[in-house]
Amino acid sequence: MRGLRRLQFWLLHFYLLGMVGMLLGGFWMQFAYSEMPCPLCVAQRLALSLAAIGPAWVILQCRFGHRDGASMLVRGMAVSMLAAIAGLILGGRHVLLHILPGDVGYGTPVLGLSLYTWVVIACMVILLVAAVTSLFHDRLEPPMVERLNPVSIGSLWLLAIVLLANAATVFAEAGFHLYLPDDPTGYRLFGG
Amino acid sequence: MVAASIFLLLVLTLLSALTGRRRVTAVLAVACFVCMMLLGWHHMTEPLGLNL
Repeated sequence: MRGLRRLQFWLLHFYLLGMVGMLLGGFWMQFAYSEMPCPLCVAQRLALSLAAIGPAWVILQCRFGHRDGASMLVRGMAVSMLAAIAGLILGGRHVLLHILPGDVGYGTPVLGLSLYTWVVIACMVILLVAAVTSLFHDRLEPPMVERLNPVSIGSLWLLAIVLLANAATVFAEAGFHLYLPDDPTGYRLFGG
Repeated sequence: MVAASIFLLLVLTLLSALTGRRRVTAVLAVACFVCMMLLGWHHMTEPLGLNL
């Protein structure tokens, strides 16, 4: 039982780093292939970011020694589920925009699928993981810790840096306009 | 600027989780969800001139 709870603690890290990895993948496509994220892409990045906040919240709460550790796990998973619902709606809409035969889609495909299709798949996996974790929350509640280990601290810092980097690049892309352009070609802040 | 602000709201949510304020974190997380859905709704309907 204790081993299962310990495993859950590390699975939360795996889950968090998976979301961060997807966000970094978006950055890679943006800078290595010079593909500007469209408004729907940015909205999907927001959904993935919120999905990462769920496990990050659970990991952070492990420090406070709550008596009801199971409920904190459910709260974190609920945040991830909300984010996955948003990601499914936004990604699904993006898939439908390019679903007609002959449409080349938006951006370079990765492993044969467009990035927004990967978002839909990721959100389905998030929903499944969050639902199963919530169902067995009494067995899977993570253990309380005196202080976070370096892996936890590193993962949380990485998430914070990726969120701030996203805020900065999106601001650079939108400039001093309220919304992003429908078909972005450069960074408006720098006159692009 | 709206999308960048929501990213900053997410950072704020992470910071509130760091301080252990559970209710504030929950409210901020829901606020992030609502804001991103409103932004998504704008971008899903506006370019096509849809009136849903």
